[in-house]
Amino acid sequence: MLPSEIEPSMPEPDHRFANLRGVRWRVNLGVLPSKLLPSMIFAKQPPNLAEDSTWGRFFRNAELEKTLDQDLSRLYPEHWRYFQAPGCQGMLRRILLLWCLKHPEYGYRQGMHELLAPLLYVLHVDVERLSEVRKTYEDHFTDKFDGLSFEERDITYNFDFKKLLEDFADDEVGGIHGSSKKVVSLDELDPEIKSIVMLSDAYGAEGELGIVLSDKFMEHDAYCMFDALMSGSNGCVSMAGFFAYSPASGSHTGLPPVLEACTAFYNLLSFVDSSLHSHLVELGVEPQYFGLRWLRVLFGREFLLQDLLVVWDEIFSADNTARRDEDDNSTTSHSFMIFDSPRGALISGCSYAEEEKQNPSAPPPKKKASWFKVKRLFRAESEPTHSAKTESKAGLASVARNLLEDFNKQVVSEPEEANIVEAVNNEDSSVANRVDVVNNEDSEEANREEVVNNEDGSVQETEEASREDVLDNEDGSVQETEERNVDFASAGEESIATVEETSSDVFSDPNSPLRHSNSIENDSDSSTRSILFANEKVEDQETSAVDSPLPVSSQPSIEFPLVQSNDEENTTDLDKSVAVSKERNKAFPGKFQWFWKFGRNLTGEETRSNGVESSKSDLVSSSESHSSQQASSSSSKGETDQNVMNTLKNLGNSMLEHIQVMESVFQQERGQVQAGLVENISKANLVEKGQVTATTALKELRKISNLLLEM
Amino acid sequence: MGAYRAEDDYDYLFKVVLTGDSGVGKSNLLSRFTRNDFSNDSRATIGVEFATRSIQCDDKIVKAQIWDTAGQERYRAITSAYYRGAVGALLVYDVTRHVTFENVERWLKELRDHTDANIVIMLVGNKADLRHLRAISTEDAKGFAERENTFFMETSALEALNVENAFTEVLTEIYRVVSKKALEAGDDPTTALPKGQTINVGGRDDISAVKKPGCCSA
Repeated sequence: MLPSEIEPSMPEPDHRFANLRGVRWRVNLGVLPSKLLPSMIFAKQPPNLAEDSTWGRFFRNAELEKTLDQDLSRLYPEHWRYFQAPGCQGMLRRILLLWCLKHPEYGYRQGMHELLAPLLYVLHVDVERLSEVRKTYEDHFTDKFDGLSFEERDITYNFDFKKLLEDFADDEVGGIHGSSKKVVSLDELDPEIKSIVMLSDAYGAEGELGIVLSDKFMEHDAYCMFDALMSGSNGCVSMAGFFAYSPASGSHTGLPPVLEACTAFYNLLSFVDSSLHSHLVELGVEPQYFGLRWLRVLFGREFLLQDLLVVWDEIFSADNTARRDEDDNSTTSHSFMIFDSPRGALISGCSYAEEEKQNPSAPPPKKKASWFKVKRLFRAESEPTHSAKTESKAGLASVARNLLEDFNKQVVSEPEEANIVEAVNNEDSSVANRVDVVNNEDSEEANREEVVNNEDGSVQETEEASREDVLDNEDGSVQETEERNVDFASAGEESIATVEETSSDVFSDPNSPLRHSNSIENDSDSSTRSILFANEKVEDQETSAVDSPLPVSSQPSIEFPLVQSNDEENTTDLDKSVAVSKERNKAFPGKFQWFWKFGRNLTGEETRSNGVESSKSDLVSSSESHSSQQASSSSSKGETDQNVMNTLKNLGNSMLEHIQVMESVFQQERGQVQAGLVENISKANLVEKGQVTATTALKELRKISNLLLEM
Repeated sequence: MGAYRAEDDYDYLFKVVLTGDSGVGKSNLLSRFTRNDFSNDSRATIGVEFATRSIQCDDKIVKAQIWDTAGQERYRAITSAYYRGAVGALLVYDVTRHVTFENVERWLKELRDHTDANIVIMLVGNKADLRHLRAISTEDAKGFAERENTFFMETSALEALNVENAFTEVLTEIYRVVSKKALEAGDDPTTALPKGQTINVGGRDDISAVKKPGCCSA
């Protein structure tokens, strides 16, 4: 639409755009508004952008497309040959555009494009696989039924992705080279290849015209996958929710899903590694600083694409349906929807370490072990894309939900304040046990993945190397945490410069996770870094500080919950039916706030005195606190009424005397017992005597207190 | 923010936020300033990223903690946390894309809604190296900055033009405001927190796209 092509002075709509049938039809069909004036189109500010106006829609869509293009052009720069190819960009663009227009409540938000891209990519890989098979076993692909060939390709949708895929390692596509032996019947084929043949057949696996593997339907399939992923198919985890600003229906927290999930993650962390959790809370690091990115692109920024696919293998294979049926009696056992499904729990438990595969150069065998360790430490310094599983990973998967359920049950069944401490301790030990279980699961997971890779035909050397290294550590299971322990041990022992450098850097950062660069000059190595990475540093440091002498590194410290629950008792008056997970969350900001007031606010004496008093009352024994409270009340009354000052003083004195009597009696008693194993009878007498004296003294005390009250 | 002071030596820690539309080059400004690095194909920022760098003002070491967030949408999930405690802001637009300049007003409003009145704001026209594609004249932007009482500078993260100056000028001004505040607080202890007291930070004569020596050793 050029200005010159649109006739501005045409009065009657029917005659406008005579030479622009496309424009005219759009006007006629209501796609463009009938009052189409050039000044409106080419004005800087479109005149009518009311929500429902056709023009408003027109410009909003244009804006949406622009935003899409801008993000798509920056998609996976490291794989630009594939993702930046016009055909691929076109597909991604159309899919996103369609989805966003169909879901105006979400629209397009940055990150969606990175959820879609891997989906399209895996479809491409499958189809590529098909074409390889087709080349080798051409006979089985001839459709003799009606001569319709489904190999026809839609010109507009077609692009030669095959060449572009060469960017990726061979095992991604799956090597079937070298098996070009002629096979006569379908049954003689390898089961996998057979299934490929069937899936690409119009009358095969899915029945009539149900072609599963076809590049013709790739775009359609990718859209369906994307839509299912975003909507969550009525499951618990809906990725679209992570882009929403309003709380999901049925949410107990009233937070937007992404914030709720982040909070859930922090709660999980508080069970698995309470010291790290409290450290982050004290620093004011909110979980959404890093959690937002983890969730919105489903860890896409923490892993390289090849690893991400494996992570998503696990996430997608986990069931996404809610598990509410188990405990009907306690429907509100926890407030985090994300824990309701195994998939959600898996996501919230973060993920697995698979970045080892990425190392392109396999080091010589002798140096493997040390190289491995160095790399691990070094990567922490240099690679921001490194995943953040670390600590959070220790609380993986099924643990998340069970943990919270158990915890809530314990709290409900033991409502006494004193028991909470115990409950917390019990919980911690069970956490420790579970962590073991999880670690075992992890090793299973690792094994499974190896199987997958074997299916693909080639396991990368480096991956083997890393596995061997783990075996070198005299432990068959692949355990993130243990590996890290080894790392720190090695950091202490080995004199490799890099190790020393990195580890010292890690250790010299005791307080601030946001510390990146100390120097005045640019610190090119470590200045720009994501919070995620900063966290990891903290995690490393925490673990090393707390756990390095222990065999199981992710075991939480026991003292901490004790202190914590004391704080709860002191600072907040808690409703015991509330899940402790929530209480913990509250307790920390409360404590922090208190310190803040203490330090900063001169008028905050009230808070301070309250805090001191409550802590005192917990510390002293019951009888003593009783009297001291009386004393304090008497003194306060004395201040208010100056006239009875002297009387009060006298009363106070007599009270003190009585108390002294009490004390001396009890001391006598104790002294007798200690002095020499007195006979039972005399001891009983003494005790009786003492009791009489004590009761009289107490009576006097009561009288005094009555008098004081009367004043 | 200085309550948890790390071992490294600094006298002041200032939180500075980067705002502006998607694709104007916020992340590259950040990497240029903190790492002297530029990437032609950086991905869109998801969520928040951080970086720090220390500079010297007078005899004090000022550490800038710079927050970089995604520009396409206002990340409401973290908006309050994002702006909380910010004492400086670089509001970035792309000199080749007029729409990014049009949206500056919106960003400015959000900034002022969520931050302290004393915040030091600089309007930054990035991608100044793309001279043949320029859509917003320096004069227009300068005029806008004067009206809105903000600093202004045109930069190029690609050519490392004015990036250093932009950050250091903002940091220096924050330092000035803070030390002035501290002085006032020292004179009159009853007003420990002079909130709501606007300090005019945008002196009109200060606004300049030209390199000028500040008090900071860059």
